Amino acid sequence: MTWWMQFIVRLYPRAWRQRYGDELEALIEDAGPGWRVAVDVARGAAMMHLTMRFGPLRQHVRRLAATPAFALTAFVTMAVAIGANALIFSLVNGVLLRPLPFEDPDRLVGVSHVAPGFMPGPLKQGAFTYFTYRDAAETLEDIGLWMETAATITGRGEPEEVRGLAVTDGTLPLLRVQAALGRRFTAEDDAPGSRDTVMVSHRYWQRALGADPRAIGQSLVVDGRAREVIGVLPPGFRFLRHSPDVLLPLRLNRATVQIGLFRYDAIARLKPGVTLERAHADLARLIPGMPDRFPIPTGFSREMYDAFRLAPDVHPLIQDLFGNVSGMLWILFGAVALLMLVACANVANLFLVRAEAQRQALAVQLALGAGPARIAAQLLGEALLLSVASGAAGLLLAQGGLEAVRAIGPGGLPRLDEVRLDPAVMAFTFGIAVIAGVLFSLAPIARHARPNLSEALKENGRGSSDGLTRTRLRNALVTAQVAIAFVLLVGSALMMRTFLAIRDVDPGFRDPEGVLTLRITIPEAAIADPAAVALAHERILRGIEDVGGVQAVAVTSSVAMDGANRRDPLFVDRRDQAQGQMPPVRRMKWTAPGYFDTVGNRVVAGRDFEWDDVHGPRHVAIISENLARELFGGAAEALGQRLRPSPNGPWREIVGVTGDEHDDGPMRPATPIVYWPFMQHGFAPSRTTVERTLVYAIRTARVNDPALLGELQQAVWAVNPTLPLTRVETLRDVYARSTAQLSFTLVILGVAAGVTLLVGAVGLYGVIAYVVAQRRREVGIRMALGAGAGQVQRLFLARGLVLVATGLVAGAAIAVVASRALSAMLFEVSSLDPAAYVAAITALGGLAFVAIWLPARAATRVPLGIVLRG
Amino acid sequence: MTDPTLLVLASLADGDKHGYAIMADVREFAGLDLGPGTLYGAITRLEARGFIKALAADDRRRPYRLTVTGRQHLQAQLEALEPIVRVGTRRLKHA
Repeated sequence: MTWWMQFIVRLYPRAWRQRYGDELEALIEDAGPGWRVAVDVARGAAMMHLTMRFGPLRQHVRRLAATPAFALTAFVTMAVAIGANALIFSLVNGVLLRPLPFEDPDRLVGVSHVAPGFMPGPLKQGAFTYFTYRDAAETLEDIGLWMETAATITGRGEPEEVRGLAVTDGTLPLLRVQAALGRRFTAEDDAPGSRDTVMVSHRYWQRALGADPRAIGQSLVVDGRAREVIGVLPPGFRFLRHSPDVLLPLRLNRATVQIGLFRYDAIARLKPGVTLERAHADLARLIPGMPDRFPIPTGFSREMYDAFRLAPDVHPLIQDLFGNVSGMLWILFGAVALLMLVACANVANLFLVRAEAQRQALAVQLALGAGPARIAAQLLGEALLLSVASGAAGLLLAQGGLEAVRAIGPGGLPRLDEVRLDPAVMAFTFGIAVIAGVLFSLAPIARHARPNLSEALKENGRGSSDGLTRTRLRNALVTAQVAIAFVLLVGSALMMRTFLAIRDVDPGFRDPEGVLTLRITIPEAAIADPAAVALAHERILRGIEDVGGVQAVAVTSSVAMDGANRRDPLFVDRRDQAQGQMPPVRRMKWTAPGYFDTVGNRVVAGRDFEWDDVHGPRHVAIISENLARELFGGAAEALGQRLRPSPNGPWREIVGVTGDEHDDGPMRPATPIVYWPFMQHGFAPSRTTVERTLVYAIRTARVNDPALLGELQQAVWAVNPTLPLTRVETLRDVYARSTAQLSFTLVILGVAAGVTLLVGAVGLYGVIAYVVAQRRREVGIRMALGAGAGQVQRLFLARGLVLVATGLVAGAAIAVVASRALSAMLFEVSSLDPAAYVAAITALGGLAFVAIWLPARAATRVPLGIVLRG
Repeated sequence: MTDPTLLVLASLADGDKHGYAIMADVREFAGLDLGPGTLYGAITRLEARGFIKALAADDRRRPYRLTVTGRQHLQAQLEALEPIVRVGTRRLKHA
């Protein structure tokens, strides 16, 4: 035989050649060489590869298709479970596990502070801490400040408010972000008094500047001030949760910096090899010396500063991205993992039942010399085929789920638009599918790949001791399903109770769907004089009042739950603090007449602000009822008392007390709040200050009327045509956002619990139905001997209910421990809430009863003759 | 009707044959050339389904025998073909 013909024969699979190779070669020698023969043999080799590789697959498909009800139930169960796991894993992976998209992200840290002697919770960065760290920290390569800001761009058609980020000159270099075009900010750009500059995002450059490279060097009017465009950010630039359109230099004036004012966020890059602990110690070392570097404001003292107990908090930067979503995501991951367990237990059970139904066929195969390995391979192959196919379907479901999650945008999940079913998710999904497949086949393989041959052949399916072991295994699986379903049900019930409790909270406003909110900023470049700004805001407000359908309109620096969080120490007359002591910080808002009435809050005592309080030199304040109680013992007692936001400056008289506002969300206690008129005289020493950005709250029946916004715009532009209306949303939207994380958790937990319950019920039904089928003869005989249908049904019911009761007890024990993980998300509900447990028992018990009763009833309905003959 | 497995079964119906003998036989009774790759593809499938079995061989040329099930299968296949042949032939005559 020629060498090339030998080569072609070698193309056959090795196993095939061992059996047929010699014969084929002999035949080729007999037939004689030739290109026709060569082509035929090569084609035969290819076909043989296909047959040997996919032949078993075809057999598996054929065998699964022979039991369609089994195959479909197992497929759907697994597809849903794997889909839910793939979805939540894609969120965990995309949101929590993926590193930040910057070079060497492990060395990037967020730097904030704590000051337990000043206020609980985290404190941001002050200009004085920033300059000190930048000058003297030995562990940091560099530190940069950043601050989210809104910027109004004018001079290019209609005024437009864009997302801005103010940064110091070190921020971009320490992120290793280069300009795609032009250059980054330099120390000179960041110095006060230098030329005004701006960087724009790639997106803004394309959208508004026509993607023209000559845009560099052109001027852009930002907040009424012409700035030179010096650079374009790289495409897709995103900083933590922010995708800014413009970057502005922060331009802190070192000469005027004092101790205090923690208003900036900070990031830093650690020098190579530096640990978080070392960086922390390095920065902590610098804190006591800061009052020597920067002056302490009048009214404050060195003792007060020391009493703050200021300390740095150096943490991985990625933590600033997560916020509080990581706890929620891990809880959901746990829930879908439980769902997966239940689905696996159920499908494993189905496989067991099916393998037993095929026991005789398998025993015959063994008897004919198939060998245990081949039987095992067959059982494993079927299970793997089913689980991998379910995995593929699960991925499709996960993709659909991801679209839905993106559309809802729940709970402030960061980087949601970057979450993909990427290779990591695919590998995870494939991995759990394969593991599940192996698990399903383990029990059937253990039983049937080495059966007691003679017994299996003899046995015709009734009442052997071997059958008892099998039943025990299935019972254990069903009990586990009931237990896990119970845990998830308790979780859902607790979340549901939380949701209902939250609905009963009076948030400090009424009928939020009828209140439209929007923001208007009057930049200094448009109107410089504070008094004129206050007048302009009032004129805008009057203009909006005249728009048809507007029932009431008012302004405030922040509506309830919008996330604004301005706090300062509040000094109280009468209870003046001892020297060297700081009073606690309080939430502060700036507002004007009519606000409480417009949003549906009430004035409990005294009066609302008047316009003279805003424009005139009156020094007045309004406080919330809980603050009045805390400071003065009651609302009426608070009237006439005096407050101020700094240790010097004029005292301000309390003229009114209002209902409480749940400003930090309905799940948090109502926030004690001080309201000031939005223009203040002597707030900062001998100066008049005004809130330039105000939220307009408009109560109207025309919230959904698309024409309304245009009319509002005209009313605003009649006062000043350069002012854009931004962040237009209803108060209901603001409220929904503050509870979005909770709603999302509730939905996912609810779905997981519902599916688990259903899957568990199907499993229970299957087991009882199987037992009933096994004992049909016994039932027939009992009934022939005079037993009533009820009596027989009770027999099976009792058996099923024992399983359910065992599962419930086990589930309750697990739930008591597991529900503690939820406690951070619960509101006015204990994690051991009896009502939640009763609800879960009722739901599970009810469905379980039906799942048992249906097959039990069927047992007594088969005609006697058929049963006894069968 | 040119299904190689059917041709192999038909060839073995009158006695055991090795590969080259089957090829020669098929060429004679059906006028078809089965290549070695095609023939051994058919032999592999038929043996896997238990329709033929390999006999002991003195040299590399191994003879094959039709099994009882193989015979039944061939019978069934031919009976299925029979009406097609009959009707087709009759209609051609009357056409």
